[in-house]
Amino acid sequence: MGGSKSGGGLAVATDSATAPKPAPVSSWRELFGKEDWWAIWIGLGLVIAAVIAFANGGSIKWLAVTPQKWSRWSEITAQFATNAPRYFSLFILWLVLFGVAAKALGIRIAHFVPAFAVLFVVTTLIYALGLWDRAAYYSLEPPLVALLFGLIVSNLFTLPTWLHSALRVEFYVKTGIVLLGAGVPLALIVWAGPVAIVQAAIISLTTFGTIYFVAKRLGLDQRLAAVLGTGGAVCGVSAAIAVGGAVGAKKEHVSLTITVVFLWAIVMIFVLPLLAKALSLPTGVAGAWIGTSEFADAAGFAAAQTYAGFAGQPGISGTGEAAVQAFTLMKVIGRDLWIGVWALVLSIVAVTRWESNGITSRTDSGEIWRRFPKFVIGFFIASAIVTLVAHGFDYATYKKTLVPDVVAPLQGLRTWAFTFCFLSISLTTRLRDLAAAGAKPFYAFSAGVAVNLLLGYLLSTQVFASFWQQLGQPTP
Amino acid sequence: MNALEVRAQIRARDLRAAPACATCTFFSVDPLQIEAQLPGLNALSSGFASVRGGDGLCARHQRLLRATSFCANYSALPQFQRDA
Repeated sequence: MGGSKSGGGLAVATDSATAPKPAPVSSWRELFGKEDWWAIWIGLGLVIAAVIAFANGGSIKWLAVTPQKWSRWSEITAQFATNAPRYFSLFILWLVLFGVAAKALGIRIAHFVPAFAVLFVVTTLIYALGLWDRAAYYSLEPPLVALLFGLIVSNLFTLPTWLHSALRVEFYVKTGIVLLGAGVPLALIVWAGPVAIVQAAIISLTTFGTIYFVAKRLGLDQRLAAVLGTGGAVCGVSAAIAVGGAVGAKKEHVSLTITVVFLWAIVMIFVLPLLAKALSLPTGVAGAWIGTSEFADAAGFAAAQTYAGFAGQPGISGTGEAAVQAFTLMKVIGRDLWIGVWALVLSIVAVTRWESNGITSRTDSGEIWRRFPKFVIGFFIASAIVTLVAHGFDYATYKKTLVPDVVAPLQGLRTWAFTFCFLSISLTTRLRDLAAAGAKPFYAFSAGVAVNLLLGYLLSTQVFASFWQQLGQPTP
Repeated sequence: MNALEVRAQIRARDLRAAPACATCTFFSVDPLQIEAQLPGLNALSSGFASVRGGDGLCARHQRLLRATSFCANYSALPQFQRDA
């Protein structure tokens, strides 16, 4: 059991095997005590390994095995039989990488190992199902299948406690984002970043203002209104805990914000791709809309990855990669990066203008760095590494060598990480365990959702449409 | 150094020396405990996320607070637990 200090009824049984220290994590300890940094170590480690292998005339593609398109049962079973050693090696690789991190984070390794084995096997089956040539016809996109499967299983059955040790949604999605950086040229980030930031600023300020205003009109507490507002405007549940801590929000207010954000995020995973498909939006435009109007990174990647699967279908122009890239630029660079600034500003407002909660807080500009989503640094570095390696290659050589030997295997590993994440979201979700949200917070947040959805659509499909349509063009 | 700067320095020193949530009995920063106390947190985020900073849950006030906050109900942890 976790041996952390506790008091006044806060003692909770956890399966933490190590005792966390009571003081806040120091800068150096944070490098091995936070998921963000572990996502960087793992993601960049894989990128560097891919580049070193390439520089020595090899490739990690043997290890980065993925299921291929199939139409008959015998084909997929033959694929697995032929590639069994590769799948086993990949499993060991992920197990070691995530297992070392889990151990460092204080997660019981005896639970993590069998739990991750289950996760890997189910993920493999879902990944393979998504590559069935009739999958698109039956809308069996892997993210949606993973979500539906997990939601049914976790809500109809009681999963063993040990299984939860490997259901680390954020860890997998952050690792996937770092790996994603390898497929996004630095020039694209420089070119698209400012537009994403402008669009995100418009949507974030408007959504926050709407939720905060409606919440106040409904008589809700200022701190609750702020936590709800940033949950809708910035990065969902992560924003709720960041701003909740910064303004000293009540625990119950953070809990109910998590519930409301979660419910809308899950709804949007299904609604946004299907709505965008019904409107025949190009993949880049749809990705930008999803990045503007989804509330959490993990949920947003599920929606963007789903839409990526629609690429090439009648009426859907653009590449699948463009949907994921546009989403990442909008959500991660446009919105997530600024959570520290939101937390700093709101903490100052809380201290200087809001009713006292009986607690004295200190705030300073270091708040921005302390809450900075560090994994984004890994995304930028991965992009810089591959851009540097690609420098000097002409486009034909780049496509012929670097893409199949470096970029494609890293994309395969990224898809694995994202699929672990999608399955973990749903297997972690027990609807009956969520805190009751209450009508007023739900109404306030829903008002923000309505404004966000409409404004996000207009910005993505009208104001900046020509810009987002250019994503995914074949330039190295 | 003028009088205002001296006052600011004294205040900053006092704040650093003051008892804070980080060393209070009621305060918990264990990520797994925080996830257990906030249902749904680990479904779309994490107790181990950088955005949480050093925040923790206060059992006295039932609030999510910064580790540098403090209040009149401060109850110091025994030294051995601080060093654990």
